[in-house]
Amino acid sequence: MNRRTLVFGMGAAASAGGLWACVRRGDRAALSSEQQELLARVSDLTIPASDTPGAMETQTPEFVALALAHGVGGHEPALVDRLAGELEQAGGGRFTRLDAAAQASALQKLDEAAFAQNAATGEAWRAIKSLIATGYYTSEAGASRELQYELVPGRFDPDVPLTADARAFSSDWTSVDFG
Amino acid sequence: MSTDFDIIVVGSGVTGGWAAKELTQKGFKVLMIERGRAIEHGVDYITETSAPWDLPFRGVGDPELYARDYPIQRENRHFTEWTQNHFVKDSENPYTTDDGKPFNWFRSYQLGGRSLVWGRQSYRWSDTDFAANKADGAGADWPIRYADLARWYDHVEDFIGVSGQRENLPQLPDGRFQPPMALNVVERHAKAAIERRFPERRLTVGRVANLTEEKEGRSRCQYRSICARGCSYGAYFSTQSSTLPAAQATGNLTVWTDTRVESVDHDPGTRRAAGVSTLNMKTRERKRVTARTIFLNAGSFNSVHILLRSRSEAFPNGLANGSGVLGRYIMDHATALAGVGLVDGFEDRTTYGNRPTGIVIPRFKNLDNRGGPFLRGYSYQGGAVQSTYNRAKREAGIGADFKARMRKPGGWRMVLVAFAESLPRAENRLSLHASRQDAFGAPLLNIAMTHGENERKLLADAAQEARAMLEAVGARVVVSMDTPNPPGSAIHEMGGARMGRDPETSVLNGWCQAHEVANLFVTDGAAMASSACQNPSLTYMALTARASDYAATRLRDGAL
Repeated sequence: MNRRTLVFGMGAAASAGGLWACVRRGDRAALSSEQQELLARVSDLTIPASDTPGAMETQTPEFVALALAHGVGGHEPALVDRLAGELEQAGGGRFTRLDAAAQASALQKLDEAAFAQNAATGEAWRAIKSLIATGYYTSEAGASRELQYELVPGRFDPDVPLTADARAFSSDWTSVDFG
Repeated sequence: MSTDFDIIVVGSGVTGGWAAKELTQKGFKVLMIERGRAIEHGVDYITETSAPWDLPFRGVGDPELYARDYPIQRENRHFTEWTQNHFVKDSENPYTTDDGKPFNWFRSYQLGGRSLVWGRQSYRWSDTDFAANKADGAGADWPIRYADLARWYDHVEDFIGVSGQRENLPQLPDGRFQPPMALNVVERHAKAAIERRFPERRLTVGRVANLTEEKEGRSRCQYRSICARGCSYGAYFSTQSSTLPAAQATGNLTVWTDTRVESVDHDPGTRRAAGVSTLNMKTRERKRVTARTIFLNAGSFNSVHILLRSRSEAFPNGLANGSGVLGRYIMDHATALAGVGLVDGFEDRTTYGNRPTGIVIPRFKNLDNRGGPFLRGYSYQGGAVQSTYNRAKREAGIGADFKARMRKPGGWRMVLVAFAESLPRAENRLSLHASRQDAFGAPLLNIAMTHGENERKLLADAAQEARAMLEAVGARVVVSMDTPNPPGSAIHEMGGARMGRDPETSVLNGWCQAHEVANLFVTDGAAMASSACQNPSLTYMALTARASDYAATRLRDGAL
């Protein structure tokens, strides 16, 4: 599927706002159900629910679909099928047909290979993982419950001990840009 | 002769606001003309408090929209989904460049101009800078020196509010500072290590036009560091927070927004500027308006563009361009990511709040301008940054453990960006495009600029010294570059109507007054005869305040 079909397929939405409305409703119809399932599974496996919501509760797969449709980071919707290929190679079978444990193992294996030095595989996974991270940590729960969000700090403390239960600030904009 | 106004100020950005404030406070009736839309302080900062999850693309922005309407502006790191409404659409505001010479022209056509989105770094120049052209001959001598500008720097800093640390460095004179913002824990370590290893170098916190103390109805900085969205606290200097309310309080200011100045009208009989021709961007109505004196503050390249368009029998090559110098000797700064180093040993430390400035290592080479391997010099800006969730994109891991690991702040890195002085060269120039016009029939501005051999030598040296300093800090250098970013990237484009002593080789005299048109002043960056390596806006403001005072005196004396 090319990027254009995905955009138009996602609803009556020619405008970004309309598209987003579709995405917020969970309307991912433009992706095949198998592609949707794949994005959902890898998102869930990467950032599961814990004492805070995970990727699924924050509609992170929907954000990934939107980002791919619009080319965020220069990425394209074709990456979903390429990721399916990478996962199949890692897991020895079609990812969506594997049981949960085998899926986790396949993604684990792909992830390790993709982030190894001089990685020979995993280009699609690195791209989609980066979109999962952006989607999750800029969602309300990811940004303000998993991490901390403070719009108006009011002061600057230049040297603070980092405690064991500390959470990073999603509102540290310099770090978001350069960190 | 009666005129519609005493003075017309073209532009409402950093210098237009200053001209309007100074001249209205001296009792003159001023018309300020802004080509873009009105933006009301506070009320119109519509994304100021938006959270990422409030925005369709979470702050990253829509690449399809950007590719269509903002292909240049999107290259600016201050351009985000929060701030895109404070930048021009490239699709509606075209310019041309020579083949193979890209130029990133970052623009904000709106009331307040780029004062709403500027980096706020505020540095004085010294005689190392003002004397450089004369010392090494690479440029026409400045007709002014630091002593001419010192009290105007005082005047500007007192009004806008600049926080900074006094350092007693001759090459970067101290100003009238509000208390400095603090260096973070890693920057303190870096400062000690660098100054121990290189005693002649100094690391100091960025001098920034953000208030650390309240000032005349403006709140002190809240350490959000989201300035370019607009700040309803008025905690950083912008036209809206500072000069515009001061000018409006006099009752002497008229503001026209959505009005483009097409040309400055010249009266060959009196050899003076009679007024300006304007185009209302909404109604398409064209109108002439007259004044005794004209101040061009449209932003360096747009002020030059207006003069180039103002052609007449007396000035066939552009107003005040008998010398042929108009448009030439444009500059920016040559920038490169000179060094990034990972700093270990501070994993148990963090910070609270977002400081809206970084660190500076002022120029330390060739301070006497005697030259050597290169002319002029460079300085660094940067800082120590602690990583956060972005490292989830770079590190292996999935699942609960990965999520728990990403919850904490990550490692520290020290970043040094080099700003190298850009030499004034005649072949770097603005001109009117021979055939292409905009939607209103005006010839497009053509920008032809490259960084030269000297800029490359400066950046190569800066990268080498950055590595040496990062190693002194104990950092592991992971990036070090010396290839200049495309011209324009520093957003310090300047020159094109340089000031000088000789009307044969310059457009303006030392008062920013056109040699050939006595009642015409250009007091933005177009007036610059060299670029130094400091951020230039504070100097533009000081030049504007000084020129305003001079013009006011001459007007009162009947000499203008």
